[in-house]
Amino acid sequence: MANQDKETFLELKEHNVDRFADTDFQLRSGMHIQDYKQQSRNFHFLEDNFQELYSFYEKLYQAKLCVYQSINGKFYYLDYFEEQKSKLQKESLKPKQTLFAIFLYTLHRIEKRFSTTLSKQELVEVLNNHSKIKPHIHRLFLGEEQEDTMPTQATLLKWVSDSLKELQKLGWIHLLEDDSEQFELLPAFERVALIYQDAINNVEEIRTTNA
Amino acid sequence: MQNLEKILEIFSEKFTHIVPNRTDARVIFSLFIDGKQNQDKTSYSEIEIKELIKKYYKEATDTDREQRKKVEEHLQNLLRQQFIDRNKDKRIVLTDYSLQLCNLFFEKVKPMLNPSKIEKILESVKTTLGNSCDNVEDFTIWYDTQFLKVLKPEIATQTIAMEFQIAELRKDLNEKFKTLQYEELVDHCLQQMELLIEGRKKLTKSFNGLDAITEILAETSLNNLSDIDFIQIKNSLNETLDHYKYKLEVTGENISKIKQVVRSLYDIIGKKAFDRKLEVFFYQLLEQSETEKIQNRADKEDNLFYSSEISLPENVQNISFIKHNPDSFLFPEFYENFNISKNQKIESVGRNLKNMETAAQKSRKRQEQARKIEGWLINLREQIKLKDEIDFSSFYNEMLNSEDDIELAIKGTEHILKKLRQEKYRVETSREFSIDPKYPNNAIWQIKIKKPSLN
Repeated sequence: MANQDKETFLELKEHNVDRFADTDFQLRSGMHIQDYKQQSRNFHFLEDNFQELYSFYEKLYQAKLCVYQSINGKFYYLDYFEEQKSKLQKESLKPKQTLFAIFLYTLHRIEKRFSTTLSKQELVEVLNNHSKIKPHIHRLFLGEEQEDTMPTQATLLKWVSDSLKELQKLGWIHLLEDDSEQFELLPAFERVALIYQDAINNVEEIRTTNA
Repeated sequence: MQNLEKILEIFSEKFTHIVPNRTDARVIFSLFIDGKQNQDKTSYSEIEIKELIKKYYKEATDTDREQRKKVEEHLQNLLRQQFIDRNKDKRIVLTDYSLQLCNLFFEKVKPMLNPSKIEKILESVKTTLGNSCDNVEDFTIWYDTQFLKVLKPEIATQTIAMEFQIAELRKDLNEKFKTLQYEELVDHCLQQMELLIEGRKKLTKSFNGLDAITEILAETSLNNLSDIDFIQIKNSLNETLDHYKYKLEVTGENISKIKQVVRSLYDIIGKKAFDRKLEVFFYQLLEQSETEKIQNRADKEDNLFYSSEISLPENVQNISFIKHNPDSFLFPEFYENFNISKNQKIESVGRNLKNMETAAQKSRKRQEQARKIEGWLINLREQIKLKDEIDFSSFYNEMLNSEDDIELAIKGTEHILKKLRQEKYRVETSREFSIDPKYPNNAIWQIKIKKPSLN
């Protein structure tokens, strides 16, 4: 199918052209797309039309259709070209959700590398028991280290639950339908490392500078 | 011992409704397992029991004194509930009640150690099924006594055992990942995976045998009776088998995921440095993050301590992502099958894809109908060029017969007449109507289309 619109020309493969609208909508909603359950058809649409769509987003929105192959799988997302303002706007996660994303990524990478399915309760247990994490998390969310009581548990669980919902909107995790207590980490969760790789690789330098 | 530990885990998870506290169950069953392995040892000192309690009750306490107090509370609890008792030498023993309970559970979970047992059970169940297919009554008895009481629990147990083994493997590999060198880790992973995969292969083989039951049921003469009880039982049985086959498939997917990580370990050597830096980065982030306090808070009680927001250090930007939907879409035809984008609503990925697909199908049908109606309009215009007058009722019946779609014929008539009126053709309708015998419930008024008058 071909379409002419002023200067932009989009020619997509016929067999799954019907995925364009949904895929485009998802990408511009911040979603990362991978070969996973409901996303599979959009993922294959991107696989089949990558070059065409890359040019489309570049010419039309000055946005980059990125693809990344992680250990767990390949994923697509939209981003800016370096130092070039796109016609598409960006939004940010709140700081506490950002902190949660980094916490979860670190936990997965360091402590639970082989676990792709985790539970909210498991995370709360780490937050309450990990000697290096607990004091800071309690300071940030509870004012100071607290005993395990219903309100403190509710506070931490709320942080975990709200943050997971936000990460699900990005396609980084998937809350399991039959049991929203559990969730699965998706390949696109590796994006956390891509976002912070410079900061992580230079962490010693930053620490020295700050000191 | 390793298997007994696993039984202990399963035991504590599954039978909490009998032993109220899961950790109590672990303590009791630990004593039972220990007794089985050291048959000479029949009693324990209070210190030994307290150590065991300490091992399983991981409660955060500020001081040793508080911890000792908690352990003592748990010990007294176990004594009070008569799971344990003191003998004449004041040493601790399991009560008869606990021993019986443990024996019962041990028998219950023991088959988990032997995933292939299901094959033997299946053979016997198949034979009895063959003998019970002569009448519905025998079949119902077979279902109640053989399927529900023997085969189904066994399938369930084996599936749980497999899921449990995968969970255990994950736990073990997560631990080893932190301590072993990569080369050792890879060896360990491969060794453990091999055991697990072997177990699953056996289970898959056993589950394949379940198809024989479905086949016997599909071929039995009971199908000819259309007996409602038989049909219901058959459906329920097939649903049960499908459910456990699905669960087995999921275990296969989970094993694949672990394999993927193990395979990646070959590439990961050298990336450990990144993990170390990531850890430093995260702890640094935690240290340097600050709470922003709420002014005039009006939180609910259960959110009493919840801070409004936190601030991250300068070198850590919030995660940002593109989120932008323009006011108008550039390629509307690409969006025609996509009802949500027309309204430009932003919804999460979890929205109902099935409804979208139905809407898309309807939209495709509408487009196809519109295309055909345009074809019929052209056809009519050509006919009218050659004649002064057209009998639209005949034309309607021709359209209906040819497309075999009443909706299309009605919509088409509406559209065609509207167009012709706009083009100043004369449309004359009489009080008589015409019916096509093929569509007796569908009639159309006698309509004549005449060329526009030159006046």
